[in-house]
Amino acid sequence: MEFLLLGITSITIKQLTMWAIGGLLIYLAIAKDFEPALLLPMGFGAILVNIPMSGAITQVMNGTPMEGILDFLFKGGISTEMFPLLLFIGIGAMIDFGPLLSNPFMLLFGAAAQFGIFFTICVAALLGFSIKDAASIGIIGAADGPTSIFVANYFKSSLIAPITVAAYSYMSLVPVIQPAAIKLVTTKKERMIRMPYKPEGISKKTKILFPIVVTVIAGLIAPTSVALIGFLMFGNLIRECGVLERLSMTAQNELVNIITLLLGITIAASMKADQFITVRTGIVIALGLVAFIFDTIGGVLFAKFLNLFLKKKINPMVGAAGISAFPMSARVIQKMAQKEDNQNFILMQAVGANVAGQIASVIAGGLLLAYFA
Amino acid sequence: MSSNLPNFLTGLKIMGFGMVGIFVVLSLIFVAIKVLIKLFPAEPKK
Repeated sequence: MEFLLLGITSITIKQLTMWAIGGLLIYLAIAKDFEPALLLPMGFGAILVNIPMSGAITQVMNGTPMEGILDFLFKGGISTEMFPLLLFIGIGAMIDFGPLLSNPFMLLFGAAAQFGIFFTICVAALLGFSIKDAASIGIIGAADGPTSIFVANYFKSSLIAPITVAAYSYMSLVPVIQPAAIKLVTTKKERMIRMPYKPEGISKKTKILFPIVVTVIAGLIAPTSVALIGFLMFGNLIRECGVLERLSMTAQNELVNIITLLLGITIAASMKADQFITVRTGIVIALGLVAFIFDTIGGVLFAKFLNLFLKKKINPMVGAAGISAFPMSARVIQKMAQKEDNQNFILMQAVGANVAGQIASVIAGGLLLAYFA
Repeated sequence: MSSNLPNFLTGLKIMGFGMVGIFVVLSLIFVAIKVLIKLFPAEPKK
């Protein structure tokens, strides 16, 4: 009868703590609507893998390893980079690059708002992380879950679980983080700058050729990024070609839903108590916030720098929209602009910058991979 | 902290490489968009 009590008597304080963390993630997902599609499966998975001798993960029985389903899914879906890349097809199919193509100048803000990634790499390196772990932590600033998972896994980082938790948590906290960071570095007068919107007309041929051209340009400069940028642009090409409506809908809905369902619970395979409850996890989560803050500040300061030379001033908040958290960041910027001046409409410019950030964040990830290749 | 200095300097190098690289790639994409718009202008709205 002792075997019936073996599980209960084997529970450790760290495992109980992970149950609490799992419960917290589930609470944040349901009660606060914080990226529920990822945080809920991760929270539940954290509980699954921290039950003593859990059959969901690999256990050694009488000297024989018995592979658990979550480790199997991790090996097949995360270690191979398959899950984040398939997710990118769906994300690409969801994106309308029209506001960016109409106003391509916004690309520059997408670039500037990746500053937080590299700033955080420096800080993490200074704090004693290896350079590859620092790069894995810095990529939280891409504000893009699949890119963060892809890069962290590429560097075989043991920090993939806190990196993923941080990335998705802070993405849902953009409405809290960005306004505070923007107000730190802008004046009311700057936030009230109005920007006329004169979009260029975009032909269907341009929309079809754009994803192909982007893949080739990014691929020639950073070949290691071809999988990342290529799958994103493949999804977009399916959307824009006009002859694959069924595939586009499948990519945007069923594919994204299935992969998201599996991704969150699979990432939890690396949320075992001994690996997760460390000082390093706390530092990673703190550095993730640094990355998001400095992404915002980088985009805003770049816009302010350009304003020194431009006659028609840019509202610096548009720079902050260059972060990849789409479409939340664009909406946050428009809300802030209308709070200062209820006749100020900069949503389309912010959307253009936000969409540019999607491309820029993937390229940032690709360049990191290229540097270490 | 001083023992982390070599890693920090590598981080600075990565920052330079990364930020310059992103601006270069996105500037090329900017030029490509302008060329595409010129080659394939939108049809005027009827």
